[in-house]
Formats: sequence, structure tokens, C-alpha cells
Amino acid sequence: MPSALRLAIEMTCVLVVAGLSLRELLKQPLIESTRIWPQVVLSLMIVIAGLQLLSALWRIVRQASRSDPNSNGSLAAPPLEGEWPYPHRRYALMALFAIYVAALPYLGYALASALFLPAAGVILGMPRTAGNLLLGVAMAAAIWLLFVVVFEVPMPQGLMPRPGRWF
Amino acid sequence: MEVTLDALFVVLQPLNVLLLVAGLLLGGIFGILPGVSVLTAVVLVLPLTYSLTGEGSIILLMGIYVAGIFSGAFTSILFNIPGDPQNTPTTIDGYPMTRKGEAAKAIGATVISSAIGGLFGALVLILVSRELARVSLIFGPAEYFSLTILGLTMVTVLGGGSYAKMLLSVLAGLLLATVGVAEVSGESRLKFGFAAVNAGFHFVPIVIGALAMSEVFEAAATGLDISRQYAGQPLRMREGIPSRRELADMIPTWLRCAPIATIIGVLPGHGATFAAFACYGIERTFHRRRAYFGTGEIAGVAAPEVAGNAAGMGTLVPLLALGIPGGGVAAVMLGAMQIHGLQPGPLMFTNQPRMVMVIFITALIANAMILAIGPWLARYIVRLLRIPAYLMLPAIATLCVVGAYAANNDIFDVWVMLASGLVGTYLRTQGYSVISLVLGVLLGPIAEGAFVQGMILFGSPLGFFNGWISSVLLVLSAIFVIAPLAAALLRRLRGASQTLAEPRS
Repeated sequence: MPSALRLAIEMTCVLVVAGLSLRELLKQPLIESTRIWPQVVLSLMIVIAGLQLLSALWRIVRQASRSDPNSNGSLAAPPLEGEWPYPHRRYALMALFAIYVAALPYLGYALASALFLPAAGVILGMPRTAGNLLLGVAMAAAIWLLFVVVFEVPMPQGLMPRPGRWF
Repeated sequence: MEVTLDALFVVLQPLNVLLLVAGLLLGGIFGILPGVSVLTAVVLVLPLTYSLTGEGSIILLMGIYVAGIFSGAFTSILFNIPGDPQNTPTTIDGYPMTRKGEAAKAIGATVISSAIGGLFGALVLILVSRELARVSLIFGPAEYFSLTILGLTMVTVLGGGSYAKMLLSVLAGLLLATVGVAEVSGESRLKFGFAAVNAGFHFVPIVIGALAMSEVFEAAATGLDISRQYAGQPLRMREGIPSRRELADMIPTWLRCAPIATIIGVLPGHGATFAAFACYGIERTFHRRRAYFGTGEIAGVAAPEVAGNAAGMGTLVPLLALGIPGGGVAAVMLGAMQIHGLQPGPLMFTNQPRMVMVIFITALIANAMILAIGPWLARYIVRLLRIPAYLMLPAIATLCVVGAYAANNDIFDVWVMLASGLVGTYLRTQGYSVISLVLGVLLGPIAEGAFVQGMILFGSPLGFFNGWISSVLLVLSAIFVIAPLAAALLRRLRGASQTLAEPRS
């Protein structure tokens, strides 16, 4: 995506969020000391994002008028993540992580992690051998033992019984 | 004296010694792993500190911080891949030394230089922060507000990248900190009808998501995996002891770089990374063997390493003296202290002198322990690099879940962490500053408290200019904000005038 266009979209999003927040703030019956600081922050955000949006729009208009109609290369700046060899792995990992978090209250930390670790490993290029998959499960067990049993960090139990019943 | 002995007794308690050694090992491991920064290590360990005392937590975090800064140099030297950004200049001379068969020598120089830099920085921390804190005792809300603003603007300006994006990152952090109950009035705001954010966002899930989780997502996309390159080179660490001639080459470097780097560290901004690059540049210009830099010169390894640890200690000066973190790790340390009911700043020196002394003594001992633990880390812990990224990154992700959930035992915090991770990943890829966002979240309540108190006291924003200290700090902040804009405008005008002056062909 052209960098100026991307910046324009980003700044529009910032303006929408800041505008909605300011509206919410002004709508609530609050005393002045509660309202004043977020109001200052939001106002600054709106000013900066507004100026950035204008600058981005100006760049889009100027570059579009200058550029050769047969090429749109002048508009496009190479995206920063363009050098990354596996961008799809990031999105797949994000989606899997969201499923993992959603499953946590139902499956519990131990079981969800035992499923998540090998699956994430496969996304990140782990050879699909039984040994590797078991290694992922073993790592999940080790992390669970360290944090939940040794350090007694209370994690969601889900389907799993409490560690106290085992030890 | 009594407080010092008391603090020394605390630090030397078996559990705390164990925590320091564990911290040094953890920091060493995370520093070595490329793509996973020392900041991630500090963030991930944060939930473990809940079950520790305040002193134990700080000892553990200091150990991680000190070892994490220097251990990334090992991969710079052995594989030409910096473990952490501040170890990047070490590759320039460190890797050629490995190719010449002098890897042990380069690692020896790294260990000694880091220890010297760290000890120098720790001494400055002890001497300067106490005096700075004494001066800042006269600070009122106006001074605190202006100081916070100066810290945030300096981080913004020195952070590099797009200036407007940096400012927006800070403002987004400040805005996130305002959600929920206002400390001054107890009223709730900006909830948008969600009861889950009634008390506001806990900073721990945001910090873990924005800093650690986003790093995992980024590492997944970069596919950086050093495990295939690991050849298990045998290191004879006895060869790492520098000769008299090599010491003579390194001593001027230490003398020049340690003070410069500490000063850079004290100023909020890049900290260790900026100091390492700056000091390498200085040595490349002034060292008597500058002509050999880039070919495997030992002073070229010593310069960034002495700078990294000296600056690392320097970043703790504003945190301890003023309660304002100068960088990412210092920001997380502020969070760790807040979890234990400690508020760094001038009052800490009078209210909790033992805690301050514990930090000072730990800084000295941890940096001295680099000499003992460094060669061992280089020889054995480097083998952990054989763990492939496909096992390491998911494991870190599950640790992030532990950290976020343990903050409040609430699954909502894990969702906040995931959202922060997604936002953080986007911010990283588009040139925004995640560190600025985190600093905004952490400093937001301090800034708001001082601002509202000042407004109640003075009745007008102009009241913040009543005292000379706050006036100077605010003017400096304004200069930091305006100077880059003015410079950019001047460049544009100069460019336009040159275009007009050029004869048309």
C-alpha cells in the first residue's frame, strides 16, 4: 500500500478514536479535575493526527499529479515488513494465539498450552515428527510445572483438576 | 552506615544471592537469544516477582538487566548476529576476531569491558542519584509535571523515526492510562460502557503485550533462527585474558567511553544502543589504532561493550532520583517497584533508604559478577542457541499468558495483552515507538496527578511557569519539540531556494 495512503488511513483511525473518546468524555457528568487531563491529551492527539492527515493527503494529491499515469511507483514506498521472509507465519501465529486465549477458560492453561505449543511450532516451521510434537507437549508440561506448581501462579484450571490433588 | 550494612545483609541473604545468580543467568540467556531482547526477559519475569519481596524482585531484575546488556555480544562475536541491538557495533570487530581464531580474546575483552563500564555506571548512579534526589526534594507539582513532560519529549525526539508518530505513540500511552477511575477524584471515565475497564487497564498486560508478545510475532515473521548456524566452537577461555599490549589498547577506550556512555544513559532516549554506537564511532575517530578498526581490533570490541553497561546503569539515575524512567527496562523496573508499593523518586531516599542501598549494592555486585559469570556464559549457555525458534517462540508466548493472567487472575487481562501485542506489532512495523507507548502508560498517572494538582494550585496553565526550575524544564521541552520541526522546515526552505537558484537547462 502506498505510504501516504497508509498514513492517511492511520491518521483517520486516530482521529476517529480520539473524537469518539472526546465525545464520551464530554458526555459524562464529570468534575473538571477528572476531565481536564484526558481532554488535553485527546486535543493534542487530534491536532497532531489532523496535521499528519493533511500532510498525507497533500502528498497523495501532489504525487498523483506528478506521477506518470502508466506507473504508480512514485506513490509506493517499500513497506518496512517487506524484507521479512515469513510474514504469513506472523498472521497464522496471531490467529492461533487468539484461539488459544479463547480456549484457556474452558480447557485450562495446561491442556490449552499442550495443544498450542506443538501447533505453533508447526506454524513456525517445525518438522512434523512425533518426537517434535511430543517435545512441544513436554515443554508445555515443564512450563506448567514451573509456574503453576512450583511458583503457585494461579492459572485457569478448565477441565484439568487442581494441582493440589495430584501432589 | 547502618543502612548500608543492613542493605548489604539483605543482598547477601542466601535467597537473594540465588535470585541475583538466577537473574544473571536468565539475563545472559535472553541476551544471547537473537530476536528476544533483555527487555522481554525483564517483562516475562515481572509476574514471578509478585511472590517475592520488593528487594528480592529488584535484585532479580537487576541481575537480568546487567547480564542481558552484555551477553548479546557473544552471538555478535561468534555468529555475526547481535543478541540485542546494543551489541550491533560489536559485530564490526568481534566477528573478524573470531574468523582470525581470536574468539576467546574478543569474549574476554567483552567481559572485562562490560564489567568496567557497569561498575563505573554503578558508581555514578550512587553518587549522582542521591544528589539529584536531594535537589529534587524542593520539587512541587509544577516541577514534577514539567520533568515528566521533559522526559517524555526527550524519549520522543531521541527515539528516531517519524517525529509525529513518536508523539502519537506517547499520547496513545497517556490516553490508555486515563481509562477507568481517576486517582484524583475517584470518578470513572472513558469506559464506553465496559464494566471490565472500570478500574482501568492494569499496566502489566499492556507492557507484556506491547513489548514481549509483539517481539514474538515479529520474530515469527523474520524467521531468525540461529540454531542451524550453531557449530559449537570450542572456546579456550584461558586465551581470553588480554595481554599487556591489548590492555594498553583498551584502557584509553574505557577511560573515554565509560563517562560518555553514562551521560548518554542518564538522558532519556536510546540508552545503551545509542551509547554503544556513539562510543564505537568516537573510538573509530580517536583511537591510536583506528586504522585497524573493522579488521578485528580489540578496542573495537571494548568500546561498545564498556558503553553498553555504563549507559545501562546511567538509565537508572533518573528512575531512582526523580521517579522517571529513561528507557524501556527502567520503565518495567518502575512497574515492578509500583507492584510492591514502592515509588522511586526523592522520597524513596528518605522513606526507604534500605531499598535504595539494596539497588546500589546490587548494581555493584552484579556488574562485578560479570567477570565470574561471563566466561561461563560464553562457554556453556551459548549452547542454548541450539534450541530452534519454533520451540522457543511459542514457549515465550505461553509465558506471556502467565504474566498477563497473574496480574489480576482475570482472563480479560490476557485479551488486553493479546490486543497490545497486535497493536505493538503494527506499531513496530510502521515506524511508531512501542517504548514511547509503554512510557506513556507508566508515566501517565504521574503526569496527570502533577498536572491536576498544579491546576488546582495555580488555577491556570501559566502557573506552571511560576518557578524557575519548571520554567527551564518546560522551555527545554518546548525546544525539544520545536527544534526538529524548525530544522525540517529550514531544510525544506533551503531545498526550495536551491531549486529556484539552479539555472534552467
